[in-house]
Amino acid sequence: MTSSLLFAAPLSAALLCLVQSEPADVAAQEEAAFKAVAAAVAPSVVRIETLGGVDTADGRLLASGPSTGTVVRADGLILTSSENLAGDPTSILIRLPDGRRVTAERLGEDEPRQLTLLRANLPEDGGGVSPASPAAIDEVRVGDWAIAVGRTFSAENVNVSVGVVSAKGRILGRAVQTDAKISPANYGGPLVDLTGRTIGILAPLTADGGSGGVEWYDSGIGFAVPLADLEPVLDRLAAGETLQAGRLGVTFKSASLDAEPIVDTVRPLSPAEAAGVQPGDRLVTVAGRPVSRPDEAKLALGPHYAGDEVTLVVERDGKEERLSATLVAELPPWRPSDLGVLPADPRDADEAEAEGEEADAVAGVAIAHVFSETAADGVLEVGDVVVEAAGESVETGDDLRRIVSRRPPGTELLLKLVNGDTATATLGEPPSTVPDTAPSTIDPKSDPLPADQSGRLPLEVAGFEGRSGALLVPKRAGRGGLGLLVCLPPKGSLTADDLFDRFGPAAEREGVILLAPNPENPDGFQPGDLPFFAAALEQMRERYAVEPVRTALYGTGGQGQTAWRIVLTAKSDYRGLVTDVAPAQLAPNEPDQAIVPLLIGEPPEESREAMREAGYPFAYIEVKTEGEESDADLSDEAIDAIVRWVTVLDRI
Amino acid sequence: MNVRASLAVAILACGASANLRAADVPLEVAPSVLEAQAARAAVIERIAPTVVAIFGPDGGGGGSGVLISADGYAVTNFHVTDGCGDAMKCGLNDGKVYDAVIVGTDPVGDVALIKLLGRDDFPVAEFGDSDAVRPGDWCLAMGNPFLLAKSDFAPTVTYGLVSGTHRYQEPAGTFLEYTDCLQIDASVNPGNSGGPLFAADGADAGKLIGINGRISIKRGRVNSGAAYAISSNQVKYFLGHLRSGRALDHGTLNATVRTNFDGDVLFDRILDGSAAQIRGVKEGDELVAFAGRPIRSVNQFKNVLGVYPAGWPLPLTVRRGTETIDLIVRTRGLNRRTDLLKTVAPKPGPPPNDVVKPLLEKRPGYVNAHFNEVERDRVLASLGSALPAAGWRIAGADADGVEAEFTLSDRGVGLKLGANRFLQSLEDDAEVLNEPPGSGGLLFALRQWQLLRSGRTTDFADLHYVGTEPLDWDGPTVDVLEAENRGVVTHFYIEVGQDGTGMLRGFDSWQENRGAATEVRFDGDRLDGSLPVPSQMRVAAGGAPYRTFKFTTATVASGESE
Amino acid sequence: MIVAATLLACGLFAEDPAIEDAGVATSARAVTAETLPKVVKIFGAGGLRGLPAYGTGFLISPRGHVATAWNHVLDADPNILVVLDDGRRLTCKLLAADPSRGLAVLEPERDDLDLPHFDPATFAPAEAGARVLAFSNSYKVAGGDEPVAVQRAVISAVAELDARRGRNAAGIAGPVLILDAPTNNPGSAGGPIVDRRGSLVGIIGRELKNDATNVFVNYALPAEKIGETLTAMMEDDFVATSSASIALSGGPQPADLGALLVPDVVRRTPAYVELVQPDSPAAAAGLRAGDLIVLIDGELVPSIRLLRSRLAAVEPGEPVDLVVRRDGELVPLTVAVPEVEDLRDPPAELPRDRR
Repeated sequence: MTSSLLFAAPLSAALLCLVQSEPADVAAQEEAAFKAVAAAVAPSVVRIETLGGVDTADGRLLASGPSTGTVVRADGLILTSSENLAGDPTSILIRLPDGRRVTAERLGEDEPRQLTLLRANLPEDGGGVSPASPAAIDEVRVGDWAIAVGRTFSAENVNVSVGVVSAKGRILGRAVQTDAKISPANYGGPLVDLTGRTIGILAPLTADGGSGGVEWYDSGIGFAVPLADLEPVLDRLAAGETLQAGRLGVTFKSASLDAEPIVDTVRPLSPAEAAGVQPGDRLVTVAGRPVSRPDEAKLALGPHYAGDEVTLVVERDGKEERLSATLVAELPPWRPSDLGVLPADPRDADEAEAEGEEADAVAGVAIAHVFSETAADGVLEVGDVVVEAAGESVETGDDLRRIVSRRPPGTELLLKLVNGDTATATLGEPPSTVPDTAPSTIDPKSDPLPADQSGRLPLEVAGFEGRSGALLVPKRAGRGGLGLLVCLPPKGSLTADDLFDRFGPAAEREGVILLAPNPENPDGFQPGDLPFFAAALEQMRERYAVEPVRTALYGTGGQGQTAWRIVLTAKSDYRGLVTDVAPAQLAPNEPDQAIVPLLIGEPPEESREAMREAGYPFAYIEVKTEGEESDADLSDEAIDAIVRWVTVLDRI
Repeated sequence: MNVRASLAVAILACGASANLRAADVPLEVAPSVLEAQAARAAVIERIAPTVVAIFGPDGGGGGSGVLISADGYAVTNFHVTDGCGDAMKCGLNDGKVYDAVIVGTDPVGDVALIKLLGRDDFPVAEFGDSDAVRPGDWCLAMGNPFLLAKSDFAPTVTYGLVSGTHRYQEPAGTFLEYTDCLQIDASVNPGNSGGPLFAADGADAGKLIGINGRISIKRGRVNSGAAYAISSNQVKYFLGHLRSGRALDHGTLNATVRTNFDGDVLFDRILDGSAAQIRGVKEGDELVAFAGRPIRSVNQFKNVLGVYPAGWPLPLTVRRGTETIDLIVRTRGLNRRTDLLKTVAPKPGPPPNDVVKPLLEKRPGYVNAHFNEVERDRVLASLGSALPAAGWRIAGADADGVEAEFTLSDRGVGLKLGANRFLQSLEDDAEVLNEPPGSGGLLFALRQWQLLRSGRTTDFADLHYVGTEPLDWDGPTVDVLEAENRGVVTHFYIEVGQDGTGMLRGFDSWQENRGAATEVRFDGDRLDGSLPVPSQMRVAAGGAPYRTFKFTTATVASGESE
Repeated sequence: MIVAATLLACGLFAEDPAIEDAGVATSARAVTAETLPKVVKIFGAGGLRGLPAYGTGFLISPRGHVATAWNHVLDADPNILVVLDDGRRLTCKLLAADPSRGLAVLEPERDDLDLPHFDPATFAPAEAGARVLAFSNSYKVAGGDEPVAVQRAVISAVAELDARRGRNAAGIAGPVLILDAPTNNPGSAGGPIVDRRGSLVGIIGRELKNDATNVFVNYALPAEKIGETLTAMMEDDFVATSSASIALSGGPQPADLGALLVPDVVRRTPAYVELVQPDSPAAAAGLRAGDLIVLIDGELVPSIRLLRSRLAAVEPGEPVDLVVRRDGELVPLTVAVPEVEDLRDPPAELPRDRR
């Protein structure tokens, strides 16, 4: 037994004696209290009746019966659960506590809390309504009685459901949780404490903070949005505003439960970027709450709306900085752009340094190739060394890529060269085709790899003994390292060996490693294989000079969705994806971990549009497909194009 | 006053003024009601820190648990850890995340023991007595339904009644059988699994009475008014065994029972070699009481079997005609070992991190062999320094005054009993023979004792920690070590005091494939001198008393004897 | 056996200081201990096709008359098995039923008992906000001498189940007690609802979904006004006619189609559909609970008895045309009758004892 337990025991034991001595009285008095609460809050609880509208929304059948609203202002402002109006009724009637009906109109909506504000056109005498009195949430304790009130079974009487407060700060800090039975019988009604004060407005929220649903009705998992939290925004809602959840625009290095809240990426044009948040910053406080994990940061942001200004304290280089961000509802979609160059081998700089030259002399990124009819065409030449772009210094190809990628097409990018010249390029759209030609990536001067480390090898991944696969390593390194194409053998007839026969010559020629594991499960690769892929890639990067931005996954012929899943789960491991299907679900592409798809076959217009909107700079190669296994129909030209595409994945 | 009437009153009170808030808010509430509410909130505040939100190593999946020791042991459901793997992440309501590692599992009873790492002052739930719970008692269920606590690990609290006690819920196959469980109407939902059920009334408020694990459903997987919690007493009985790092089994008598027309429960079929048969139970005998409980239905019989680990000594009262017979039986394992061990296999997933790795040892037959070694070494260390390894000579007399002298050496174990001489050779080719009639295998059993006490545990083919049990049902709680030597299994019963000092209270030895055991129990003071052995030794075989020896001298022989 | 059980119960009672101290049994634990001996488990029809074959009832006379909900479980002619709290089994027959209130009374064969019971004269009113306890063998959690489950609830409202219809699909006229807990589960129907003093205030109704919201409603029939009815049902010479199904070996029965009818209590019980099993031929055809089957293959079916005999003559494997009355309209449906091998074993429909 711990000391804290010992400390707490006498106190509660003393309190409990009171409970034990008069069980009968307390039970009776509690019952009287429940009834008194219902009576006291009844003038705040109205019945909502709707006419017209649709029967279904988001594939679910909507309730058509009467529902409940809570009066929050004497002049007829009524809060209700948006679920009650999900059918978008043509007309809303309010049945007042005294039985009279009046019309009402929708004013504003609180999207994250799934609440709608109505104004009832009250009769001149005020309709006998009385606004709900909010409870101070700080004084509400877990375990306190909580009485949910609705007016759905009869117009004359309220209906009650009695439970306790189960937790506070739920649903990203937006709701109080109760085990009172919450259902369409009381959505929109108040959750009331023993003194008749309204803890919150009942709404069918879900754990992900997403749209409501009635799956959890009466399950003892119910939510109420604190009325006290809503008071400050009632005027905005009354003015017809739609309040939306606020977004900041950062991702974290790890989503793991106990990861540190270290910023991984900052979305371009996002509030975080405007506030000056930088990748690598460690969040210390968010909106005044100390945070030690990514989930806590989300919890701290959860209650805030778009337009709210929140203070962030970040730790950077051992110092704390105080930043201020104004949250937005929608982060501007990322629009990838293209300069049209390939950077030179960064190891040239290392070699130069090793040879004792002044590091400054070779700072910057040398241009290895300029694609025709691109932004750089006629602006940059092979051999130019870019040292600054848009005012930011450039030391590596990744720097230049980041600067370019964060600026939408059409941006005029000022480039400073090592010789002092400047050039301005107007960024273009990423190409939708594979270039017909690309500079040779094989460096004929480089030392060939030993015979036992190159050519066709068995795939052996440490920690995953027993898994099989094949590996093809070109003899010589390419520009800036080897490309890497991980191939998922398609379901059906083609084996890893077939793939190698077809892709091998081009890969050998272009300096691309081919890696083809065999699936353990006969149904193909599974989400559980992700650690295996991660380990295989890590091992390749350890053993060979693999250029990370020239790493791609190939998955077609029934493996397309799996390939999407693998790549989107391990964005930092891949840049390219060769597949024959559009993904089932598309998360927005992130500029700092962008995935570049190459689609075999021309995708349907709607998937092209979806991928464009989500910021995927996809290209495609047309193939004449006859059977389902598109691989079987790939021409030699198509195979060459795929491999060539891998070698230019580092295109900026 | 019904609601309609109250409503009318309230409206009158408000009058026609629309600008007033409900005039009578805040309401006056009877002080006793507020006090009861405050007491409940205080209890919740006190126990909420003991509730664990359990997640997989990557933060996915999960369930609930409850801390039961300051060094981090926590109880949850087997079906929770089975989904999470051997390493877990656990959140407490202090908002912090702790690494946790699997310790032991009970797949039949759906219980698992895990250990949270990183502190030695974890808040701890106190066990209540689940057998004292009655239908209609108020209770608090706590846990992580629908993973709602993922942001801050503050548990969900639901409040309700105990709907029924001593419930029986059928297993799925042979696993996940809920015997003698509590039925509650406090809301329990997916994610609550493994979380605690606390008493809410009276002096027991806040004490652990169950582990929530199962619900009846009728419309998707949400609470529909009936949830089931494994009784805290069952968890208590299994706790010592769970610390052994093994996958535990439940017991069987290898006998079936049926209810006759009068409602008596009769033994129906008894398999040869079963524990019941060995103790002389016959088909048709009436089962009157089992483990101290009157048995009036087949479910009650299953309920008793379900709450104790396989192998526990349980009293059984049978009636044969007019005769009432009291026995102690040891149940056998219900499952084939191979079926149990299927649950032990490592789960796919990331390898354990550096915090967990030193505390996780996957070895065939164990959920986590690390903890078996910890417990075994603790018990061995409790016995203090080893006795001399040379030959032992222990002399005295039996209760009838017949002189007795035992000689234990590496070559053999001998007994001079009055004019009779018995010798159990220990030579490699020796057969088991010349044991005193009626003693079972006393001499070979004594040799196991000598090996244990003289620190020669490497002579055993295997020595592992079993768990805890009440010695002979009504004796003190003892730790059990199991040793194997030449096909003979020995269970040593060691009572370890609060100060960590252990005392060997006896041991049972039996041939692996033959049922009846030689049972040796030690009493009395230790003899002075070079060999401090107990002054009294009671011996029985197969439940039938053999002899009680009182020792007067015990010495270490200089050389090998006879 | 009786002695043993009584002693055990006393033992439990005496062990509990809280009850003795309080003097009046009003804690949930005490009311539960006092109520459980008056609640019975009912086992009857259903079972086949996965429908619950169990229900709950409570004793309303020392002799062992049982009040319960009128539902398909009672259609187990001639005998219904009632299991008392102490495990004793009583064979009962359906004595009387009141379809308008959804009530039924069972009578045990033996008449030598003296059992704890609720006296119909003492049934109490209930009002919204009252704390109650609900007792039932929901999910068949109890067998033999195991007590049924107790749940706590508050009366959420006293209201018509669905006012727009007047008489709702449950066939219950007048207001019911709406409860704030999931009390209406498989096997719950017929269980007693008592107030915090232990007085009977309601009888748990059958499982029902609210048409307007598509969620389950938990409700009970108010007990206050039915005491007299139950007494009359016990005392009057109101003997139910046995279920007069005409057995034809091999012929389909409504249950084979996935339709459960209301109990066949009187000679001309109209063929109201009580339950339609999901994924059954009846469900596929669009048959709904509450439908009244009016015509089968063009012929009028004035009673369940005649429906059974007409249906039994239908060739398995062939479709059968039904016309049902629903919300005052006549709706035609076509139901596919399963093949013979899909039908239940003939022995389950052996000729019954007809009175």
